[in-house]
Amino acid sequence: MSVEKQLAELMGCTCPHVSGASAKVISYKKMFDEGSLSKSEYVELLKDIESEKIIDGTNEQLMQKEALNSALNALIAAASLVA
Amino acid sequence: MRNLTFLIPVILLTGCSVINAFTMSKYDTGEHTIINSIRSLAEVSKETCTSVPQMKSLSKELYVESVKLKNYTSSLKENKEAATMAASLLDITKGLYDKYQKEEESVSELYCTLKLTTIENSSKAIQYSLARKPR
Repeated sequence: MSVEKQLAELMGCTCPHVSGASAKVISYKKMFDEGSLSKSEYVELLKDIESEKIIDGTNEQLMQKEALNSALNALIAAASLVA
Repeated sequence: MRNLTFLIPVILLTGCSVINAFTMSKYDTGEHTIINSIRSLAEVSKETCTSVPQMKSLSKELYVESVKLKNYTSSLKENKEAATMAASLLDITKGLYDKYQKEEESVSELYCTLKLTTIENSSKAIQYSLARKPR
């Protein structure tokens, strides 16, 4: 299967991070093929997608921790009110 | 203390995640100020992608702010996630900075716009979660 076909399939993925990243890769490739981006610019923009993946994944973990923290604090506050 | 006994099964069921939630770092004004500065700088810099000398200076400013964020977040206790995100953001901004320092004449306007959009979106995501840390 060609890379283009694989990316097109990934764009239809229900996971927003994967579909978003695939759309970016396709768009950057098109710009490179048309000559709008140099090879080094294209390679660097592709590497940035990897960094963005790390940021998105870590961000989700932190948000889950924050949500759990809020829930626990609310439970502790509620329990403290019980006689 | 008796009031908290109902928490024991919750802790036993969810294990480490509960402990981790309790040990996470609190909201930090310094951290939030730096990420806001990076996001805002990236947002306004997009208008200057046509001027290489201006972008050379702005890319350095973005890079320095990102180094500040990496150093600041990694110095806080229980702040692993923020430090990881700051390190990845630094990788992105360093690329832009290096490009303007080494190949300033050949940097395309399109690359500049795409790069700044990436920095803006990533810093926006980071800012969102940093702002929601427990007070």
